[in-house]
Amino acid sequence: MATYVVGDIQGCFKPFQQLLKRVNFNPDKDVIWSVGDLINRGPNNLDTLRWFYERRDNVVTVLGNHELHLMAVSSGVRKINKSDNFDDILDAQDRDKLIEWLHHQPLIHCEHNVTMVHAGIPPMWTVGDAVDRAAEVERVLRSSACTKFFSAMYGNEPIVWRDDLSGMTRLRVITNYLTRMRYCTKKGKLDLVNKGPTPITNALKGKKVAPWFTHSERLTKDDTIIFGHWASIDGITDSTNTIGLDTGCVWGNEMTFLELETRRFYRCRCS
Amino acid sequence: MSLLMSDLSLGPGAQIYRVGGAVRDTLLSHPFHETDWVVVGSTPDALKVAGFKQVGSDFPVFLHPVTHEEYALARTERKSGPGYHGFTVFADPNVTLEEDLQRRDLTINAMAMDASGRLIDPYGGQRDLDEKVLRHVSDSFSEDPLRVLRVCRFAARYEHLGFSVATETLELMREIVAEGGLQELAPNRIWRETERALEEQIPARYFALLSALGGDQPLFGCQFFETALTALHSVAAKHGDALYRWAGLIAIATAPNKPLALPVATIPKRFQKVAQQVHCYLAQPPQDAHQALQMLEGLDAFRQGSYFQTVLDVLHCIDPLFSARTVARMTQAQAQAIAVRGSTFASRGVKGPEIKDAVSKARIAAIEPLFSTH
Repeated sequence: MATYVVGDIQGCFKPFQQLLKRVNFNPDKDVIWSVGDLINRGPNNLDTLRWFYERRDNVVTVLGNHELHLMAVSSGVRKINKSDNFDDILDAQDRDKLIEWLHHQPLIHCEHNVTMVHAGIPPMWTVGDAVDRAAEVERVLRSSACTKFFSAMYGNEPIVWRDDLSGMTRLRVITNYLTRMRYCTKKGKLDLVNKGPTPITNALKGKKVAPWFTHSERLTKDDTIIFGHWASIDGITDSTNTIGLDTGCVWGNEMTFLELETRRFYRCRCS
Repeated sequence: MSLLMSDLSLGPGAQIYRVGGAVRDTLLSHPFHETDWVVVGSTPDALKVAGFKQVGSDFPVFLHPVTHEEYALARTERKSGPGYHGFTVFADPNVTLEEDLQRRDLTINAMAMDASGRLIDPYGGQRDLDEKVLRHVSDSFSEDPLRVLRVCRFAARYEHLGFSVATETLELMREIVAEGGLQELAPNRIWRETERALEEQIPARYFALLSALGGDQPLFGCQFFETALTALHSVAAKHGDALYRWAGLIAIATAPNKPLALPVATIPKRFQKVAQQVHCYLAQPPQDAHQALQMLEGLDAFRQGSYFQTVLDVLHCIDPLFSARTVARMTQAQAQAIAVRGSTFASRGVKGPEIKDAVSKARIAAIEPLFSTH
């Protein structure tokens, strides 16, 4: 039995199938983990989502920003953006059960001494903090309050966590950290504007931002964390226990599999 | 155990055996409540003469005059039509114990014990108990689709002992579900089996297995994902009551903002109600006195027979936002608010609809201190 962790697929179903073939994936024994963003922007969103749904007892996926957006659009509180192309899912006859399944997926997953999350964990949180706070959002996704959450989910404010935050504001910050973060200050102030391999704009007015995983005081620096979301760093973190798997497949770069047991990487060019 | 039997004459050559669950659970050292018996080589008339009372007209089953335990004449059954009643029953003094045991569902349920404690085990029940396997006895398993639910229930009952379902039995169960067998079942039979499963040691196993077989949608109209099963497991760790367990499961399994799609007619009202109420308050604990009063009113907490406390208890098991502190605060709020009565205002000369307003205001004022410490 092997566990393969796949980076952001974003509807690139063909390279995903190629990599499965390359590793001789055995659907009866092997397990697939996904760092989230299974869908959006790529050519086969519906096929990808269905593949995971059909193997739901043998897959683990954490929610990415694109899944949350799909759920919000599907619930009717948000309009589809020009750059979204998940119409194939919205028009599918099995849409309801696929979306319902997403409502039951976590924002973070810990197993085999590894933590998987879509974007990252802010420097001032332990893995345990992240799991507890993710649970707050997960609970809302399963409740009748979820539409209220989807309406309140969008936005970059507040930029930093406080223990006494409450209601939808609290859930928005948690969601931004776990599913959208790239750069932040050492105290966890979020810069959600910069997306490149180095910060260009001075989004936080003079505050020094750095990739979330580079802060030396980070409470999770001894934990192994697997994440996706950030294609422009091409998986390079300069750290052995912080593993970035988004290698920009949907942008014509590569898709990456990590075999957990052997720590071997498999890559496939996408054109 | 045969003390009473020796006094009762059931005819020459008649023999009595303990069968089914009592034998199985004795061998497993698992607690059980009922003992069933099979009588070989006798007739309905002989049993009636001995004082037994026949129950039901379809099956040759009788109640013992003193112990009221069930005694059945050895019988064979053959499927002759759809549904529960589509069976041809053949009971005759010539039907052997082995034939009777062969019509049973699982090998571990197809054993008998005579008065001396000797085990009669023609289908390998003891071996399967030792190997902890739930295995069907014969192809006649497929004749009653309820057996799919029964196997799931036994899996829930013995999960903690490490039992699993035999591959070939699982295959058969999958076929029955795929052929639509579950839709053939009378709804009250489905619920009866489900309610019993809810009371077993690891009830989540019943629903997990049903879900793996694809039986959750046809039976309950919703899907039991890992999250719902985990919720059920958390409730079951604290509450043995089927009502609590059902509510925890269904509150999470119900899709947000969609009406419950359950075979409503057969599920007792209180099960439907509590599940729906828990679902409704999931992830939305009251933040202030107004919301607290709304919740108390929404759950009818001022009337007798309200499920307010049950709903709170279930929420506490499955929703981290309903912390022990929140639950304690709501219980206090109920006590404070209930002490405010309309009659007080009526005697002060407040009239008609204004009484309702005055009561609400006074109740909010009474609850307020509980929320001001924030």
